[in-house]
Amino acid sequence: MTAYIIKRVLAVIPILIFVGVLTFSLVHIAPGDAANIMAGDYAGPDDVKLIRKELGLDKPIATQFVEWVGRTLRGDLGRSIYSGKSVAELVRTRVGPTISLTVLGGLFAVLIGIPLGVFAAWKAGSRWDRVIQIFAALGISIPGFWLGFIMILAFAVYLRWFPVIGYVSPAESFTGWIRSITLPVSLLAISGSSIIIRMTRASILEVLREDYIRTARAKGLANRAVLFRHALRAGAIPIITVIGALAGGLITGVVVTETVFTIPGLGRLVAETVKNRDFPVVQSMLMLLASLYVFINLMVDLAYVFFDPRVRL
Amino acid sequence: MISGTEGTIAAVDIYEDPPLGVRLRKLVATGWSTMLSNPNLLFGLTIIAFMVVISILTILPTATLVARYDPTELALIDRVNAPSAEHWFGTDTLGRDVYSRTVHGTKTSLYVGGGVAIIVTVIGVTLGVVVGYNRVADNIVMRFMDGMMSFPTLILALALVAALGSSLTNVIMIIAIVDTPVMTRVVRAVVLSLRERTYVDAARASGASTKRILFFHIMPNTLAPVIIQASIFFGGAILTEAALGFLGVGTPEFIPSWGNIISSGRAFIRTAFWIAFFPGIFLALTVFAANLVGDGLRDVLDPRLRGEE
Repeated sequence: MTAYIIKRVLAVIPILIFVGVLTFSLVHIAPGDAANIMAGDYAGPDDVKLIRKELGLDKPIATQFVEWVGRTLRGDLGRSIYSGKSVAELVRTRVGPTISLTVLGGLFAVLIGIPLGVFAAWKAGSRWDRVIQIFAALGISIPGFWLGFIMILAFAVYLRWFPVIGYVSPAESFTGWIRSITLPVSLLAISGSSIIIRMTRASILEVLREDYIRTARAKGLANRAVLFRHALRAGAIPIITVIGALAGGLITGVVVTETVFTIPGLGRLVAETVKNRDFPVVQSMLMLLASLYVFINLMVDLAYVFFDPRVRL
Repeated sequence: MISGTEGTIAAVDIYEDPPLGVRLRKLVATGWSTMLSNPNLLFGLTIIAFMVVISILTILPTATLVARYDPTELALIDRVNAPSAEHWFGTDTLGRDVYSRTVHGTKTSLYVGGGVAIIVTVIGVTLGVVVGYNRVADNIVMRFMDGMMSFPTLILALALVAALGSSLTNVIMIIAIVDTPVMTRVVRAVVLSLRERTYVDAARASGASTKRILFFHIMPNTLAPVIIQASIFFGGAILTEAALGFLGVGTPEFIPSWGNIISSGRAFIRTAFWIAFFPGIFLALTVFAANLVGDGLRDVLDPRLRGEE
């Protein structure tokens, strides 16, 4: 078991190196000159030179890479070309809303998705199964940004239950916070739970086809006992994988959600800086979010060890 | 056929394939009946076909018949008109007809979806078959693919957009780059399990070259999972293109696409909800149809799921 954990943790190192190299290359795969692109159409040659110097693009590429790795390892994430603020500061001021949204959105997605997925698999082919499946199919098909737009239109513009845009921190006003995140969290929960329902239903269906389930029924076990004592226990393992997929969905979803609801979080920061081609921030955010994603998937894999005795061997 | 020394037995090869025409007719007949047996698949394919027809009509000189107006024509007098008999989906802030823009946006979405699905299939199948058969290539390519898959998809796409700039071609390329690792993995997994089958051993024993085994014995059997995956990527690419457009970094504004029309209407939710509302319905319907086709194909093509209750 320890050997497996060590092996799995060590496997993260080459992946992080890959993430780093690709992130670093981003400035260099830009067609033309990255400094030119960032300076925009109205910049003079001096501005371009300044940006080039600021980013160290005037040095040889090997030197740049070594310096960049050194800075990144020391936790220096660079500085925005646009606002002049350091990335660390940008992240600090914007991480709050993103944590509120992703944690609550993910929590509701799991609380809605897993029971509905299990129920749909258990009643496979029934009317309930069909209704749940249609909900999930719609949830993954309807674009989040459009559904968010409709939600704002219905609940904020017409019914006036919630504010149209913006975010209130819980420190400022708790009810204001609840009101400002209800719609965005619902949006994340709808799309997240749709992914979970589909994966859960598929994995439980697979388990229900196993021989030992037939054996359990054959020996006269009640339906409920078959489900809870046999199917769910074995089905729990593939369901953990869902959490990894959910993490990817949430990181993607939060970019779109924060943009629709005009919430000043990390997701919106990513969208804005990509639009402005603010390379230092784009690079740092790519590095941060990819590392986070790698870390979550590592945790999911390690969770297998505790749930699935087969991995321990 | 093992020919005996006597040579008196009539050489009827029961393993010989029937003529191509017969096989094709059989294939079409099975395809047709499975499609009719799966209402979701039928519904999905009907909507996709409808969108394809719209796209073709807007490319041909028939464009004004289906789209009514020029999607780029500005009419500042007609700015922000609510939906009416004249402008079915209303007009946007520059007086352009939203219905015409939406209809013209159909071909952009299908172009992106189809382009991505084809590129990913060609590259993914080639790489998947090669790495499934060659240990050395497997180690190199799959480490690279693992690295690519360690990024959340939209974030990687956004970063590449920042670097490469946004044009229609770049959008297709970028989405294809992001999707290829998944396709490669799917194909590789199938190839790895197929190469252990007895029929592959039999082919090798009968003297078939590796190339022949790969192309004639293994590749055709990856078809089902590849088609399923490609149909998922088709819908996914349409959704990603629209998301990039919505974030303002996708298909440039002068090419109408559902994503950038919705993006242009986002700020006018109080005054002109119709700008973003109608193209969203087209978008959601198309992606829903693509997902139905993907699910339907999986039910039909995956023998493990056949005959479930």
